[in-house]
Amino acid sequence: MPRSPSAEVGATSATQRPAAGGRSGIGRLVPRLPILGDLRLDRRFGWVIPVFIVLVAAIVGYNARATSQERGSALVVNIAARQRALVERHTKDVLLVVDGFQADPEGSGTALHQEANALLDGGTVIAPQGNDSFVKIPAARDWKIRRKLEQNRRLIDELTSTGDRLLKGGRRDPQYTAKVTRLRVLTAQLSSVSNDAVGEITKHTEASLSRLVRIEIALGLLGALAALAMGLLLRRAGAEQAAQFRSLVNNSSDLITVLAPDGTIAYQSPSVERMLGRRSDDLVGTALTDLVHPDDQHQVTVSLTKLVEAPGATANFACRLQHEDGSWRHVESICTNLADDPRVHGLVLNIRDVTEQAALRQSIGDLLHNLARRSQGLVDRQLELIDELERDEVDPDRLDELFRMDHLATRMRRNVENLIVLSGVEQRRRWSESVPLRDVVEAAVAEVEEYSRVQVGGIHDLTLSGQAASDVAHLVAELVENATSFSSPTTRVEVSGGPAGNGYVLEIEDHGIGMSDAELAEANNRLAAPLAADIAVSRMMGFHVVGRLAARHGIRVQLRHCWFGGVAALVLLPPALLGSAGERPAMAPPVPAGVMASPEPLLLAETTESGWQQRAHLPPPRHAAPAPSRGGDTDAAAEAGDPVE
Amino acid sequence: MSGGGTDEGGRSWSRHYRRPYTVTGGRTRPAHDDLELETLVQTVTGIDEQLAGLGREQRSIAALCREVVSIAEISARLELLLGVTRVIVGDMALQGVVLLHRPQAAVADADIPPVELLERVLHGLKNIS
Repeated sequence: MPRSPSAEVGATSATQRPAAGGRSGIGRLVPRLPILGDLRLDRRFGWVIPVFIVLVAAIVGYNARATSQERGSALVVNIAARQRALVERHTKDVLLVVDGFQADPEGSGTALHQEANALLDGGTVIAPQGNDSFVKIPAARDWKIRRKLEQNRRLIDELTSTGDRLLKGGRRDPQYTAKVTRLRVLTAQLSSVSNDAVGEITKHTEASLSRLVRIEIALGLLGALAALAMGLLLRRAGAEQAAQFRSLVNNSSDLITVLAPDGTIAYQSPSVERMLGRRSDDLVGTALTDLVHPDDQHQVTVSLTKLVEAPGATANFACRLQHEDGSWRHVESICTNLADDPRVHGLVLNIRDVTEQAALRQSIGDLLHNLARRSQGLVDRQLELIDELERDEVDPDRLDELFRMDHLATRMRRNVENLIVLSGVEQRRRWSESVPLRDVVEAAVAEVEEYSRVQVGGIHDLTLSGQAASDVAHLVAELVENATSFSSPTTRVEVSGGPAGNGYVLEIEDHGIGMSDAELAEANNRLAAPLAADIAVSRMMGFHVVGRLAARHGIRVQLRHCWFGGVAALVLLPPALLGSAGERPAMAPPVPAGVMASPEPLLLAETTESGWQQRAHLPPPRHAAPAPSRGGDTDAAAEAGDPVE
Repeated sequence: MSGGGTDEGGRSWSRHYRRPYTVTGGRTRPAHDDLELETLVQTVTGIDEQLAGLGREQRSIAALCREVVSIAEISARLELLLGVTRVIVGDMALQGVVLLHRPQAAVADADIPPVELLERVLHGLKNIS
């Protein structure tokens, strides 16, 4: 079924004939039929279908009509043959009655008249099968047949009238012999005429039969030709479409790859030659992961494995693929699981070469990094200068001003170091020794604008690897900043911690209005999968920084609702980053420390993680223990005599 | 205060990340008026239970001041800014955790220090330089 390229336009066209309106109506239905929808005939061949339908209808109609006619002809032949017998019987009956025997010449005469009339003009006669049923025969139409039948009827009239006269006159009639002779002659004549008529009818039937056969052969041929033509047209339309599709696939700069469920390449578009310098035929049957950079293989495998389990789903990933010459091309891929589609039965990957974008991104990242590094140096020196000034300052007002400067510079340093993180360059401040976790949290708080609203409490005596200390401080700072900016300035933000299963959890809680489920989900997604460096995301810089830093150190960050409103950010620090400050540090009592002189009891989230519950069994805070016994203060005491300070 | 060692530029963690304004929540004015450099501080005995509720610096000061120590010495030994130390000690004095002794009063009683003492100090200073 053809489908005009735009059925709607066709239907609304003013010059459209009414008959065409119906076709466009069908056209609207066509897209629902998948196969026909795929093979659209060109618009100019739209007339083929109606012609084909008319042709088939004509063949069927003519056949039916011709067959019914020929059935009538056979009947007529039968009845004409019976007529000859009736004529013989009538003659015999007349002679028998004249000779004084019992017979019924009148009955046979009436039957003769009836049949003669019926043969000529059509009518109902007793069926030739002789089972007392009646059949209807059509009037004779051919003029030759009619002439013979008229002659036949005239002779029958004469025969019956001669018979009647013979019956009236009897044997004593002087013309008896002549009349009998006449009767016999008429009988013979009738037989001959009737034979002629039957012959004519048979001849005519044969002629029309052979004509019918010829016409049917012609019509059959025509139908076959029409079917052939339509097949060719459809094939051509299909071929054109296939060529169009092939050309799209071949000339597209993107790769189209179909992966079998086991990860091998089932189809590879030829454009791979342009992108990776490889022939598509060589790739079919090999595993896609063979081409992927070793560093990206895990991530690609994870994405594909996840996708295989979800028919109909779509996933994205970015990775590097190896060019034939050994270089790596950065690509982005959108893949769709079409395992349920019997025509595909696999994963369809659309792979785009983004090497140039990657290079551009790299150079922007480098630029960002260089600028940020310079600023970082300047801010560090500024902070050192402020330190010097603060040390000797005793005037409260001047110290207050210095504190403001100090705070601003600290926040500036955080911003600058965030830029370094976003630049994507793997270079960061590392410390030669591990740092107490509490100090890291306090450093984070110091970097936040509204630090005075933040209450730190219940951080255990743990240390954090010097490699990660600065990053964790920035990560926590971003979460605390987020908490303070999305809660009322009169409320507090609480930072606490507790051992959790396989690590340590820092919890940052605010008492703000909270986030909707959708916002929370989006924020968590962003945290879980930070995009590649994208300067445009600076609006959401905080979450990106957190996501990046978390990914760098295997830290898990999750936002969740608090039962009392607001949002809690949970930061799970993996054991690899943690060290012990004392003999049994993980279980050491949380020591309240920080900004507020008298912290309020902590409201922990309603979490039921085992780690949190363990808090209940922790030994009570070591009130009696003299403070210098704690690692931090011992150092402080030791450093007291340090000439540097 | 502790830990961290140094970074690539040789800075210590505490110099770098421990900002003094966080210790007092940004306050610079002591809650107590009579806090001079030489004011002596002593922790009230038998209040260990109360220490648990205090911040880290407060506890350090309380531990240090089991013996009488001057504010200047607290500042130096705990690596706290003088201004910050004064604020914290002022808070602690108000809470009754520490007692303040004012050496000025002693000086006033004695009128002037003995000449012998001053000479010994001078002698000592000469020996240092």
